[in-house]
Amino acid sequence: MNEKNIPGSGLKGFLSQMFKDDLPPEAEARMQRHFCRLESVLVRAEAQVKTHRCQWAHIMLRKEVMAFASAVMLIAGGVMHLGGNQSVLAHSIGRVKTVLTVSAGLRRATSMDCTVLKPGDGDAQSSFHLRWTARVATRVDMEAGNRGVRTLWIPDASVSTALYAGIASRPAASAAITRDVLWQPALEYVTPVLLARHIEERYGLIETERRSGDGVDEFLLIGQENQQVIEIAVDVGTYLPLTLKKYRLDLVRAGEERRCVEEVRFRWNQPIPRELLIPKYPAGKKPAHQ
Amino acid sequence: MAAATPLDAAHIVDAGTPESRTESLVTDDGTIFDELIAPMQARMMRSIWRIVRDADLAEDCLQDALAVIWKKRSRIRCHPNPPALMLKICLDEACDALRRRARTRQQTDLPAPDNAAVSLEPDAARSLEERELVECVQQAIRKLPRKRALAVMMRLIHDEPFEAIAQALDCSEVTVRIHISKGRAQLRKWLSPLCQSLRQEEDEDE
Repeated sequence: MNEKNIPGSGLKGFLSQMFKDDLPPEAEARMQRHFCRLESVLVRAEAQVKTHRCQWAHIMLRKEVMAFASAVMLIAGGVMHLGGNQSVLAHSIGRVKTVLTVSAGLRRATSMDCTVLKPGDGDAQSSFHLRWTARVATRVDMEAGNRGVRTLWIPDASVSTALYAGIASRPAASAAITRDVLWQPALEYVTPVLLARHIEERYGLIETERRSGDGVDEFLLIGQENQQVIEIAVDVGTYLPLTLKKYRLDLVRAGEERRCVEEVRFRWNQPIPRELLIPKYPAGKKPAHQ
Repeated sequence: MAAATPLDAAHIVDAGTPESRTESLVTDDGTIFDELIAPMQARMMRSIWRIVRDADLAEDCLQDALAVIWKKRSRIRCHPNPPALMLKICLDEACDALRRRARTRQQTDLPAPDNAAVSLEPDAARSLEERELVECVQQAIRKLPRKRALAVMMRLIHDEPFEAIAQALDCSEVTVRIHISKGRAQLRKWLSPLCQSLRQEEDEDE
């Protein structure tokens, strides 16, 4: 190796010359790649951290909102409790609960014996005696004016498939029966399920007073339909209707004496002789649809 | 020597206890590249290249240096002179790389790659001669104790002030001056056969 002569410079000059600052572009590019890679990794990591923080903030915010809502509800509950007055909402919930309980009791009934009374003068007065047993049939005995008793059998609670009408024998088309005004009061109570549907959907009942004493423990449900006030007395023990009365709304509003336009008395889950529910066809006559 | 970045200054002035400061910095990794590494990119690459003078080795060194910097990022941000500390880390890695290469060559008993090249061209011969010279100087540098080598490189090759070197090496300025003086003497002694001016300098000293 030849001796190096760097005139006028000491060790510092010699080292500076040996370790020149002459980074080639290729080497610079190769090293630059590492910085780029590190930067991209950091940017990605930062984005992940930000996303994570956003998620946490979202969760914490949700928790705070839930906590705030809970506190508000607790305070509101306390205020309502101390206020003494039940809210409209509580009333509404209570009403729905009562109606649904009555309705459920009706749907569970195994037999029904009810009497529908339509007060009136002369021919306008009528009464119906309905007897229904689950999965068998409904028998309706109608007595209107001086026309005697007419009986209608409806198999397994289907009004539309009424078989037989008349004085125990005369066939009639089901459509004609359902259109017959005379039968209408009875057809509303043909089965407990139908009555339950009316209670749920048509009457708009509200629980009012409770009456007890003299062997009676019942509460009243009052509703309204077709310009008539509907009043149902429900047994507290069984939650099944005892009576259903209808009054004319115009008379009630006018403050006149209430006049009952229809009264229904129910008896539930009592045994009904099966033969009563099976039509007795006269000799040589068959049901119309068979 | 560049002063500490504004971010570091802010941390040093405003932060509370060292523990809380470290915690806050660790969670703030996103700004490390922009605040510390990006301004030092060129300097880091050049400082490594000047010592190792080999593209592959320089790449490896940089990678290792970046790994060390990332590992010690909290300490670097709290350091009174982060650029000096980062330069020291790069030079340290460069020295390590030279030592590793020398060790590998000894173990495999291979000649230096450029020695194997046969060329009769005058330019090539000069280049080869220059490379041998550089390798000799590198060998002298790596023979120095670590701190002494770092102090010499930072002062004589990178012109760093004594104060910055002391901060980077975590010692006093007096110690740095001693390191440099001794290192200078040792290098002069080892390298004087290669350079006439060094021999003259040595004679003058004597």
